[in-house]
Amino acid sequence: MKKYIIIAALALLAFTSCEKQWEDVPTFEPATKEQIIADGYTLMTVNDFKQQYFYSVLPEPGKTVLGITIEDKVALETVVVSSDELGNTYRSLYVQDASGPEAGGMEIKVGKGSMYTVYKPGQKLYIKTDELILGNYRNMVGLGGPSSESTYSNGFIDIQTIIDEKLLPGEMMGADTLVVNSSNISTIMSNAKKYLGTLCRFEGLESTWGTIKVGGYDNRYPSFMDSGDEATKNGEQVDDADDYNKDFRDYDLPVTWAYSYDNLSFYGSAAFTMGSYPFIVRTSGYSRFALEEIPADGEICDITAILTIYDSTYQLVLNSATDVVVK
Amino acid sequence: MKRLLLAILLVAGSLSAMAQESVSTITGKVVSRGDRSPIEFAEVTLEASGLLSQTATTDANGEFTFTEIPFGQATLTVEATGFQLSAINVKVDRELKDLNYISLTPEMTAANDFLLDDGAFVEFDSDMSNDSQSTPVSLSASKDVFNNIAGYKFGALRFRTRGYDQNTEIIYLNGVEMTDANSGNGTWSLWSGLNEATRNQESTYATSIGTSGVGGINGTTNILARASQMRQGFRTGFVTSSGSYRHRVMATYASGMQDNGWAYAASVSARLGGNDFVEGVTYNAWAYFLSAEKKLNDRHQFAFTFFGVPTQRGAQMAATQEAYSLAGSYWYNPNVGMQNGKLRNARVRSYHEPVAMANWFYTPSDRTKITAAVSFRFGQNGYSALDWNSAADPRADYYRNLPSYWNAKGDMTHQMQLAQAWRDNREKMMYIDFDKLYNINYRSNPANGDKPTMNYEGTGIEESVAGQNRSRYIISERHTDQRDLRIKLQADHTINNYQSISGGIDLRKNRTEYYTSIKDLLGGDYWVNIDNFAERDIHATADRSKSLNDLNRSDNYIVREGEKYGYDYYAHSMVGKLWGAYNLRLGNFKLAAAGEVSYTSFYREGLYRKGLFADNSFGESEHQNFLGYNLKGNFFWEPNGANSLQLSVVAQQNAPYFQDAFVSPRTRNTVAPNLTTEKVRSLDLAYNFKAPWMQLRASVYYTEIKDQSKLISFYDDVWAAFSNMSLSGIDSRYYGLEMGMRVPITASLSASAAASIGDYTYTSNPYFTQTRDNTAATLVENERVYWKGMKVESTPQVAINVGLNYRTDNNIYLSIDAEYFDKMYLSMNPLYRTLGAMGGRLDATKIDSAFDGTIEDVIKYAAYAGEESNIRGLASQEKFNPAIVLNASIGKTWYVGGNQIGFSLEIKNLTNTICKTGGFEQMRLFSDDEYETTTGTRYSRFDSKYFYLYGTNYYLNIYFRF
Repeated sequence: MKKYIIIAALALLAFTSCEKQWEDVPTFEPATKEQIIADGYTLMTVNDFKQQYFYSVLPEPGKTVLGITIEDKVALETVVVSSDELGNTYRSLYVQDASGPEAGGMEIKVGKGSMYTVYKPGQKLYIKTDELILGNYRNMVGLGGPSSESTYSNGFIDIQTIIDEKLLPGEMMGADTLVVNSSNISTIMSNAKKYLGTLCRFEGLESTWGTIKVGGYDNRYPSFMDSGDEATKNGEQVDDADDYNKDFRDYDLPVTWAYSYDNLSFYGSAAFTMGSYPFIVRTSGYSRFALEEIPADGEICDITAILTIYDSTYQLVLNSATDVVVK
Repeated sequence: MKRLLLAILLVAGSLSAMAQESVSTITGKVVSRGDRSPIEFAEVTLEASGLLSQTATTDANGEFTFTEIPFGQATLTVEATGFQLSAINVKVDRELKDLNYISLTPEMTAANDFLLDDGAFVEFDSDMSNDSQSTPVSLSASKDVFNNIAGYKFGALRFRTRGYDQNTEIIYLNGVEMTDANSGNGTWSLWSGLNEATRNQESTYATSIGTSGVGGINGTTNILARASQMRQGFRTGFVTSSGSYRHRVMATYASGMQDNGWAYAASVSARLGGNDFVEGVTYNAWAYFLSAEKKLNDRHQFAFTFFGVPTQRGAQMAATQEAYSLAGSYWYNPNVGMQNGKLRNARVRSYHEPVAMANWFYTPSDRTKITAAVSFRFGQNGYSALDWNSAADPRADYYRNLPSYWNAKGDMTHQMQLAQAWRDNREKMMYIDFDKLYNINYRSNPANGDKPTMNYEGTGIEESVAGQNRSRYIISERHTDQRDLRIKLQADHTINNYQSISGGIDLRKNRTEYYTSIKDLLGGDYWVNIDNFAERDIHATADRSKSLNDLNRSDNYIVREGEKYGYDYYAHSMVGKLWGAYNLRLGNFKLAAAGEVSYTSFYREGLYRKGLFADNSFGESEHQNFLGYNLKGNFFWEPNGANSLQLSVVAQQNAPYFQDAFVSPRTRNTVAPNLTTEKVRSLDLAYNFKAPWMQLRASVYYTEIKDQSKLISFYDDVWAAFSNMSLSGIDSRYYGLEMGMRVPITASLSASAAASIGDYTYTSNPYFTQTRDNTAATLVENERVYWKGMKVESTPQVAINVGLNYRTDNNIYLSIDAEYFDKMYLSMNPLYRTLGAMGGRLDATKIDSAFDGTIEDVIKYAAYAGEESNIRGLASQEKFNPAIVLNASIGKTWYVGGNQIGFSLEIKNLTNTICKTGGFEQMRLFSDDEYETTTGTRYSRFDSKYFYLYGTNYYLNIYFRF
C-alpha cells in the first residue's frame, strides 16, 4: 500500500508544481540633501561651481583646453532638464540648479544611453563632483570623466559604479523654465554664459529660411550636415564635396529637423531669430522626430529647449518636437 | 560533501551479508527483448564461487535449468546468435530459483548490465545549443559496446557520434518515431526524469537497419516504455549530485503481465535544485508516467501510455574569457541577476508537453506481427529571456561593460577604470540588476516626464495608459507549442527460417505555434506591442503603421502578463513515409535491404500582419514540398560464432527542416534562397568479435552530406535588432575509425576501451544571405562563406576511453576510467569568412562571389601585402586544447529478504580538469576606425564565448527494489 501512496503523492506534486513567483522589489529611496551633507559634502549652486572651479581658473601656459579635476567634496543640487528618450541627446545629461535657471545649468557627460529611464526630466539630481573633471567643449562647460584624447578637456563618465556613486537621483520636483521674449532677450543674452545648460522657453521666435550670418559665418538654413558626402537623391549618391551644409530642398527632400534616410543619419540645423539674435535648433538624425517637418519660413513659434553654445553660436536642443509650438 | 558521506555511511552501516550453505535449482527463459519471443539454442553459462563454470542450452521455449548450485553469488552469461552477450548477477538464495525472463537485445547492440545502475543520468534537449553541459547522452543501457561507453563517458565534452548533427539519430518510443518535426532532433526532454519507465531500449548503431523503421546514419533507439516492457516490481531511488540537479527522487511500480492479461505501470520523479558550479541553473522538474496494457488473447494486445515532464530549469549562457576572468569563475552565468538579494535567472526553460500514445499489437500467426500506434503531443514549451524597449542593455556582460571594449578603442583610461570597477565591485558588476529594472518600470509613465516615443496621435494606437506604468524591461517567454499527431502502422513477417520482411507507414502532422508572451512585467503594468526596432529605425513619421506588429488588430497594443506580443506564427508540417525491409540468411551470410520514400510538406502561416511586411507576413507562405528517399543495404558475414563482418551502404535524400527554411520566420513568409534537399551517402564496415575473453567492435566509415541548409538567428548588438543568417549549400565529409572493446581479465576484473578517431570537414563554401527583422532590405545576398577545409565544430573529433571495472562476489562494483579528447573546434560565425568582412584587406578586382577556393586561396590570390595575418586572424578556426578527464565509481547491492537495496557513487573529473567544452564566435564584427584601406574598413572579431567543463563532481544514487 505504501508504494501506491508514495507514487500518488509524488504524482500529485508533479501535477501541481509551479514556477517560483517573484515579488516586487522595494522602491529606491530618493537621495536627500541631508544625506549628501551627512556624507561630508558642501552644496554649491551650479553657477558658483562653474565660476569657482572653471571660469576663475586659467589654462596652463601652452594649453588650449582646460580640464579641472575636482578635488573638493562639493556637491550640486540640480534638476534634470533633458530627456534622451527620443534620441536627440545622446550621452549628455543637462541639469540646472534646483533653485531655478537663474542659478545656472550645465552638461553632464555620461556615457550611457536611455538615461531618461533613470534620470527623469524634472527629477532632482545630486551630483558629487569630487574626482570628476570639469571642462569645456567649444565654450560649453560640462562635467565629465577623464578623456583619453588630449584634444578634449574631459570625457564621459562611463563606468556604471562611478555613475551610481556620483549621480544620485532625488525626488521629482519639476523644472522651472527661463522665459525669454523680446522684452528680456537682450538682458538674458548679455549674460548668456550664466544660462547655458538651462531649460528656456523662447516666446516669439521666427523660423528663418535662407542664408544668415551666425557666429560670424554665412550659412544656409535649414540644412543638414553631410559629413561624408554620402547623402542620396532618389537613391543615387550625390557628390558635392565642398558643401557640408546641404539644403534639404536640393535633394527633393521635405524640410525636416534632420536627415535620416537609407540608414544614414545627419544632424539638421534650423534657424530661428528673435530680433537680431539668431538661434540654431540643432537636431540629431537619430532622433525620433528627425523627419518631422519644421515650421515654415517666417512662422512664429514658442520653443522650449536647452540653451547651449558652439563656439559663439547659440544652439537650442529639443527634447521633443512637441516643444515647438507654432503660433 | 558532508551530505554525501552521511548517505554512504547510512547505506553501508545498515546492512550486512548473510552466509548460505544450501543448494538450488536455477531456471529461466531466454527471450528477445523486443517481442519477448523465446530464443532457442542460446548458450547459458553459469559461474559460481567454488564451482567450475557450467553451460546449458535453451530449448525451443527458450528455457534452461541448472541444478545443484550452492547458495551464494553466481553470474549467468547468455549468448545467442543474432543477439548480444548478456551477463546478469544472481543471488542464489532459494532451493528453486526461477529467473523468469532473461531478455537479449538484437545483434549490433550489447548489454551492459554490470555497469552501475543509474550511475549516470543525463538528459537531452533539442534546443540547447547555447547552453552549457547540454550534450546529449542517452540513457540506454543496451547499446553497442562502443556506444555504451561513448554514451556514458564522452558526453562531458559534447561528443557527437561521428560528428553528425543530433538529428541523424532516429528515436522511437514504442515504435513511433519521436524526432522533432521542426528540427529533427531527438525529443529526449519529453521523458527526461522517467529513467525507470524508459530504461528498456533496443538500439542499433550507425547505419544498421532499425527494428521500427529504416533508420538513419547514426543508429536508432526504440524505447519500450509501456507496462509489459518494464521491470516488474516496485523501485524507488534517491539521488544527490553536485554536477546537475541537487536531488532526485523517483518511484516506479510495474505489475508485469498478470494472469488476467493486464499489465500496468506508474512512475513519478522529481529533480530539484541546482549544482555546485553554475549559478541559477536550478531544476524544478517533475515527471509522471502511466501505462496500462491488456492482452485480450494470444492475438491481440493493447497498450495505452501517458506521460509528461512539467519542468522549469534555469539555463546557462556562454561568456567570453574576459567575463569569466572578471567574474572569477569558469562557470559564470551571465543570465543571472540579483533581485531583492536573491539570485534570479532571466532565462528559464519551462515546458510541459504531455504525450498520449495508444498501441495495438496483432499477431495473426506465429510468423506475422502487425502493430499500429497513434501518439499525440501537446502542451507548452517556453524559454524566457529579458526584453526591453527604449532602454539600456541590462546584461552584465554587455560588451561595453567589459574593459576589452575600451582597449579595442584605444581608450586605456576607461579600460583601467572599468577593470578597477570590476575588481572593487565584482558582486555588483557580474549580475543583472533586477532591482534597478523594477525601479525603472515603477517610474515609467508620462507623469514622470516620459514622452510618447512616436506621434501616434489620430491613429487609434494607444501608447500609454493613464495612471499606469509602462514596462521598459520585461521577462518574455518565447514559445514553441506543438500539436503533434503521429500514426504508425507496421507489419513484420517471417517467411521461413531464412527470410523475413517488414514494412510500414508513418504519418505525421505537426502544427507548432511560435510566439512570444509576457511572463513578467517586472513591476510595470503593461507593455506596448510595437516593433521598437522598426520604430526606432524608420522613425515612422511618414508611415507609422510600419512599426506595428499586427496590422489586423487594434486591441493588442497594450498587453499584459500572459498575453502575446511581438510575433506569432504557425509552422505546419506533414510527413508521410512508406518503408520496407527484407532480411535474408544464407549460411554464414546475411543480407538486409531496406528502402523508404517520404513526402514532406511544410509552410509558415503568419498570425500577425506585420507593419514592415504587410503583404508577406500574414497567412500562408508558399508550401514547400520535398520528396525524399532512404536506401540501405547491410551485408553480414559471420564465418563463426566469434567473428563477423558487416558492410553497410546508405543513400538518403532528406527534406530540409522548417527551422532552416525561412529567412526570417518571426516576421515574414520569405523562403530561404537555394532551399533544397540534403543528400547523404555513407559507407560503413564493421568487424565484431565476441569471445569469452574479449568483446570488440571496430568500424571504419565514410560519409558525405551535401546541400544542407541552416538558419542562424541572433540578437545583433550593432543594429540592436534580430538578425538572421541563412546558409545553403553546406557540404561536409566525415570519415574515421570507431572502436569499442571489453576484456574480462579475471572473473572479477575487466577492462574496457573505446575510441573514436575521425576527421569531419566542411567541403564547400556555402552561400550566405543575411536579413534583419526590422528592415525589408537584404543585408547580404548569396555571398560565399569561405570555410572549405575547416572542421566541423562543437564535438571532439578524437575521443578515447580506457577503463577498469571490478566486481566482487558480494556485489561491490568499482570502476575507474580515463578519457582523452582532442580536435575540438569552436562553432564558426559565417560572417567572418565572407568577402564583405575581409573586403578591406582584399583586392576586389581579383575576386568575386563565384570564386570557390579555401581561405588560403583567397589570401594567396587577393590579399594585399601585409594583410595575410589579419585575414587569418579573422577567418581562422579556433581549436581547443586536448583534455584528459578521469572518473571513478563505486557501488554495492545488498539483498534483504528478497528485496534489493544499493547505492552507486560516481566521481566525475577526479583531477578537476578545466577545459573548454564548446562555445561560439560572436555574431558581430569590430570595425577598426583607425585603419582604412583604399577599399574599405578593416574588421576584426569580437571575443568568442565559451563553456567550460565542470570541476570534480559527484553523483550518488541510493535505490530500493521490492
